[in-house]
Amino acid sequence: MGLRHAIRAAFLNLVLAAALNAADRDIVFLKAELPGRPVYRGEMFHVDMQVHFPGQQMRRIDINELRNHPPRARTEGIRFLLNRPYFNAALERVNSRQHPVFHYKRAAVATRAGDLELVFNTELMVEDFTANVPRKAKFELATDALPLKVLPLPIEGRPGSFTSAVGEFEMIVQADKDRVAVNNPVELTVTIRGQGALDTLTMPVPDNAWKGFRVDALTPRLRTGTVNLNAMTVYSTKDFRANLLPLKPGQTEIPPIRFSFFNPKTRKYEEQVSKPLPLLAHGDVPREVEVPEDAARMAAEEEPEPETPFTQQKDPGLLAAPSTPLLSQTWFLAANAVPLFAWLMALTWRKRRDYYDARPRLVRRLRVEKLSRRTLTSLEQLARNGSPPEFYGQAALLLRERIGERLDIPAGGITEAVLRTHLEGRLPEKQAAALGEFFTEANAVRFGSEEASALPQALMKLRKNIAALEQLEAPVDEV
Amino acid sequence: MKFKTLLLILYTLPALASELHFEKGNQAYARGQYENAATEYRQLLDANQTSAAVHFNLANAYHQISRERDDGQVRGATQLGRAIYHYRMARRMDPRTRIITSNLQQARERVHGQAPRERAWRVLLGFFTVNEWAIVAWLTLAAWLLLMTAGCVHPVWRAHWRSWQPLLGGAGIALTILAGLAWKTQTACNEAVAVRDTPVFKRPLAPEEVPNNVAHAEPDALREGIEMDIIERQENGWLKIAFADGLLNRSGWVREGAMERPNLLIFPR
Repeated sequence: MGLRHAIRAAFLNLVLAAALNAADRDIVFLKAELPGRPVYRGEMFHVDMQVHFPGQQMRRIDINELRNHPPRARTEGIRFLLNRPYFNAALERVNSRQHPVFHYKRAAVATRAGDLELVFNTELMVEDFTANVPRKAKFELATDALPLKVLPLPIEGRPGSFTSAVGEFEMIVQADKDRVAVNNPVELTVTIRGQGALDTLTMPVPDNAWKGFRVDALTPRLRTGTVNLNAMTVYSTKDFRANLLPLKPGQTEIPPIRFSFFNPKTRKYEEQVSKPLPLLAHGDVPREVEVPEDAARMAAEEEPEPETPFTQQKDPGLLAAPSTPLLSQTWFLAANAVPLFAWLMALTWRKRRDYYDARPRLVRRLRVEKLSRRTLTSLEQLARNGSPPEFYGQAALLLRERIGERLDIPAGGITEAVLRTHLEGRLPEKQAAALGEFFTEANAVRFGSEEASALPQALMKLRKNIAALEQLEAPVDEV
Repeated sequence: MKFKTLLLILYTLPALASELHFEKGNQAYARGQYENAATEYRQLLDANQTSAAVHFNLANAYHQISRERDDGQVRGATQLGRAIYHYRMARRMDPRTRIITSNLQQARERVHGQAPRERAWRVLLGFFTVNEWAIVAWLTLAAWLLLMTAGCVHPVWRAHWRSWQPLLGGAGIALTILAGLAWKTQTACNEAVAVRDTPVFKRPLAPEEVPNNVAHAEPDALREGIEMDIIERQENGWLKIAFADGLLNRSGWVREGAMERPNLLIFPR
């Protein structure tokens, strides 16, 4: 009994150790099959990329994950033709063991000649059954570098009309009418169909480059027909359409079109020439409308030259040493600060103004204090120089302003009677009497009915009166 | 009078010489002598005479050199990495010319097998040059601040632009942030292009400094033409980089090559 337990424990340990030591390749790996023969540059060939799951059951594999992450070519040198691969799953026997294999079949063309080493890769979230607790883990899969010999297209026998088509093709040329008015369109359709890559093929042109016609090319249409899944060869059709507008009346013809391609099976260039299509152009040549010189020049200026890739720019532009970015330059930062400072100053000014506008009594007090400081200085001088009417005139004015500010009444309307009414009970009787006396004396001197007493003493009295008035409670603004 | 003429000649002579190099480069390119064309354009850059057109034409010349190598007509080092570097420099100076972006994408397609999608924030920041961002941001912000200043001086006017003043302010602040980001991205000097295949290591140590039984070198080297972000720099020339290789996002340490034979071209400020 003890021995059986020991054997079982040892077996379980072995299984566990084997599982823990399993490499990623034992869970999932990527493989690709390329043609064993050399291919020509531009020739279509098949690529079969396969994701193998050794030791995994089909039902535990996330098919959507596989569908959404097809392998791609990591190295340059080839281009896939169809947007998505043909995807299928199968149980296959590899090394006498059956396991799920997922195929991604694609048609491809080589874009460069030479001995290529191609690597395909993808990333998949796959259940890692070797972990203590089975969980999904990300696997970065890549194939080994697979050799592919790509032959350059032979130079010998290359026709002038060759535009890089490689495969087996036929050409059909049709026009939608054989009679048309001058300067009106005939739609010409050049259909090229067959096995090979047609996606980059451009419309073949006749030898005379459409002399006698104006040509408006329309967007070509590429259709994929049958796909041979074993060889991954694609039978596709490309329709080039163009509107041909005859420029002169009379019997003419749509010139023969030459289309040549390289056939990798025969290893030769083949050329197809369409038959000329008769065309009768009737009507008159439209009179050319005279375009004013300025308008023609403007139109020429407005239409920029079409940009073609790898065409050098003619104008070097402003050649200069690379400059420091504006944001690193002090003057620019200072210029940035100017509007900010302007706003801050305006804001401060506005706040201050709003503050004083809401407090008229405070403004009056400040104004009277300022007036008081200025007038007292002036009065000291007048007291020294001896000019009583002027002295008393200014003193009375100052007193009125101060009294008006303290009593919150207009300064112009202050008389002795007003003083008595308003100051009663607010100023001590003695001080109110002194204030009345000063007013009486001031009026008497100003209007010439009495001689002035000594002005320095009068100034003292005035100061005392002002000090007494300052004891009165100042009116407060309601904000 | 003679002195003025002499001054004028002295002033215009360098410009004429620069344009001559540019013209010579274009002529060599038209004849298919791409190496000679690249040399002419390079002379301009060496003399600190740069423009988007010079970088673009130089990138085209390098691109053609690398294509010839692919066609098996010329043997030697490919210049695809340099082409990508100069396309990006051209785009930095002239970001809205479509042909520059289109050629750059074609070059990238040849490196990765497919055109990698650029990050959205990079596309956004690359719509203007750094200086254009700065000027647009400043103008918007200044217009907003001036409106607010006018509103302080004459509060009655505020009613006229009350509805769109917040929009202008928001736009100004957003543009300022974008300008700052564009400036930071350009002046950080943390982007580079590989111009030679370079081994990538797991740690900033030379292979001989690591015991044999420790996995150190990454299985795949940094291929020429791959663009990378520099995450960390060490004084001894080791750089921690992150880059996209085909579909994979990878990172690791590489050593910067010597000046005379660089393996990386780091984008300048």
